[in-house]
Amino acid sequence: MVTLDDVADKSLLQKPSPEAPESLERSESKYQPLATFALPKERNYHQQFADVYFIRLAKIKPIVEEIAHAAWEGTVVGGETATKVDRVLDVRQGQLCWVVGTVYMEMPLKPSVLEDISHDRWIAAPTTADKYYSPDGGDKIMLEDDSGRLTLVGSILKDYFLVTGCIIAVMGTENAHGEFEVLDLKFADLPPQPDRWRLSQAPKAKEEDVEMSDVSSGSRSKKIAIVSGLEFSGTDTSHAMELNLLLEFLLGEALGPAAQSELSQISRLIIAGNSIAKPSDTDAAGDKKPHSKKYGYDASSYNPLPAQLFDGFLAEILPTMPVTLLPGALDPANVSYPQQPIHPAMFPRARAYVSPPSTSSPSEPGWFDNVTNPWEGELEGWRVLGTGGQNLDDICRYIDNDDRLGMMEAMCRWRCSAPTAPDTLWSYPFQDDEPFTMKECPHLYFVGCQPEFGTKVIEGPQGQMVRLILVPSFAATKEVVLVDTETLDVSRVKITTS
Amino acid sequence: MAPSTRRSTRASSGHVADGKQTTLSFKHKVTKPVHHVGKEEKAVSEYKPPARAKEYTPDEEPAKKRKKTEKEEEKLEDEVKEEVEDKKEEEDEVEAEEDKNVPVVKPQTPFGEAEARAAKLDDSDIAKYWKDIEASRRAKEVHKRNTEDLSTTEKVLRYFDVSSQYGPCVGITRIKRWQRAQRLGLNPPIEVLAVLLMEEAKGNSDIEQAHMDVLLNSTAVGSVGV
Repeated sequence: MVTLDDVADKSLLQKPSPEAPESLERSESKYQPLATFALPKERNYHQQFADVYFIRLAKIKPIVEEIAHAAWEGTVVGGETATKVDRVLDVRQGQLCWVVGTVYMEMPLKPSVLEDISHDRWIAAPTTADKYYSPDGGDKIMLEDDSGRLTLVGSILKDYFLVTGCIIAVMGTENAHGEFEVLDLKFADLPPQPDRWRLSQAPKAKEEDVEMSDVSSGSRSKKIAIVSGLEFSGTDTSHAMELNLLLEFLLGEALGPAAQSELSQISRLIIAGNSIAKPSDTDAAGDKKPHSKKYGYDASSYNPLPAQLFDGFLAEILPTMPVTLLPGALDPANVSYPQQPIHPAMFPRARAYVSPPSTSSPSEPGWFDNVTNPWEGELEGWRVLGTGGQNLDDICRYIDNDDRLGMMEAMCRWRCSAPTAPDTLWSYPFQDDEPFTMKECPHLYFVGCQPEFGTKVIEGPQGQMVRLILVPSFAATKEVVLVDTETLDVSRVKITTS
Repeated sequence: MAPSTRRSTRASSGHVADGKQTTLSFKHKVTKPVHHVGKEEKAVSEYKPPARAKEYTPDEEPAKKRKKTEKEEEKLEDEVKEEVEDKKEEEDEVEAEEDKNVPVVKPQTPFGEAEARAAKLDDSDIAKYWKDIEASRRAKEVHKRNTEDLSTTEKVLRYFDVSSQYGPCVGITRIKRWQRAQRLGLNPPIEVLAVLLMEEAKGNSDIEQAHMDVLLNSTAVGSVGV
């Protein structure tokens, strides 16, 4: 009789090997979210938006003044020394001076509520311009503070990104037309950066000695996966296959053991917005007249499928990997910035992983963490700031340029993550404190739902280093971004079916 | 709100467009009448910005708050050097006094502290504060007969309302506006807090909202919604 051992050469059947295959464990994720952008449940809207600008100016003005003082105090131009002027309207003709204020861009293509009201009478079709920037130079840049506004001119203004809401110091003089000719410009620049592991516990070195099996995982660094624009849809199946493959990729089901061991390094998935696609017109069954309107909306026109698909996706991933979910422009969360977390009621299956609501002081974040957009937190010790893309998209409309990484850098240097709120980006009217001014510099700043991937490292005057990431929309590019947690290096994974 | 911008057809847009900037000269004809003292004297020290709501530093101030104002004052320009020096002298005098009668129990929160200081002020302090503000105004008071029936309390509060450096007065109660200004480090005058607390103690709730706020939010009797 022929036994298996005789014919056991490598081309035919083999006995199962005696060693059990290593079971891979996913690396643990050290996570501490901050509630910087959480709004109170009962919020009132009696206040005016002017408070937002006032708070922003009051917080950033002293810093910019210091920088401007250090740079310009004592400079002599054309025989005159520069002096500081308290208010924007205090500048005098023929006197070289410097002043700090908020930028206001007056653009004819910007949506204006007064024009909307006047057009209401005529029934003109509303033109939604993609860009507010008018190519024929009809835009004006003005400097504003509580006393008034001052038009700025000067060729140096073209060298800088400027949008409504950023705080700058300008040096120059008023010319005969009443405009301020700018000679030099200064920003607040990057805020102080906290050390790594400021909020959460750093892993102690003795962990590696205790368990031998952890040595190998301790030496391999962890990764964070960031994806955005999943856009689950009931009707659009162009990327449905890729979404499925993404699920298998993250679970480690798709690839071989070598790739799987790499995948087990991914300790957390961050979904940065736009998880549910915009319902297309056919979804709403516009031809049929709404039959019955119960509770004020027509129940038959609601399509629950996108939310169900997304819920299914999350429920598959959650058992193995913690997920942080930021809402985006298309998601079922509130419209104005900062968007509040998507309610767990949207996810009947994934809901099991959310931390139970407790009336006591904030408990540990759940395995499935619904967070605000924008979001700030500490991940593996690094301070992370992330948004769903609305702030960057809005800034892009002001500038005749596609340099999105440059605009992200500008946001960090202005110390404001959403300068155009509340001008063109709808926002809550903050009265006591405005969370968009960056008090501390993040180590990692990512923006989701972008058309293309991009990354850059910027440096600050006190040695701060920030990694900027543009996370591409998955529905368009089928890419996932992986960030190494030790070096903050970025790599991307493209999922294709061809 | 600032009036709408002048859309003048002008050459300065031409400046921006072709990228060339004419050399700046400070000797050109100044089209606005400006009071010049003379170029030899430092125009700097003579030029005083129009008086904003004067930051009247009150007599009593705890040590740490004074350190903060001193640091801020170091950064102020020469044009307010005189005023700064006066304030510093005042504070140095008072510091000696205060060290003797520092209260033993200090409240924890900064607002509790500010309120404790405000509680020490009385009507004569408020009257003196208001007299100082009126004395600093150079122009003659035109609308005196319209303001005759306003109490000093109300005058002090309305002056605080229009002091735009503490933010807009509409849509926020006066006490919250004071606290916000305090939190942002703008040093609002303690007399205003004293007045607000005194009125609150009397049970007078009319002073909660800025008068301008009341006027803006009022609806005409008999008006129908738009």
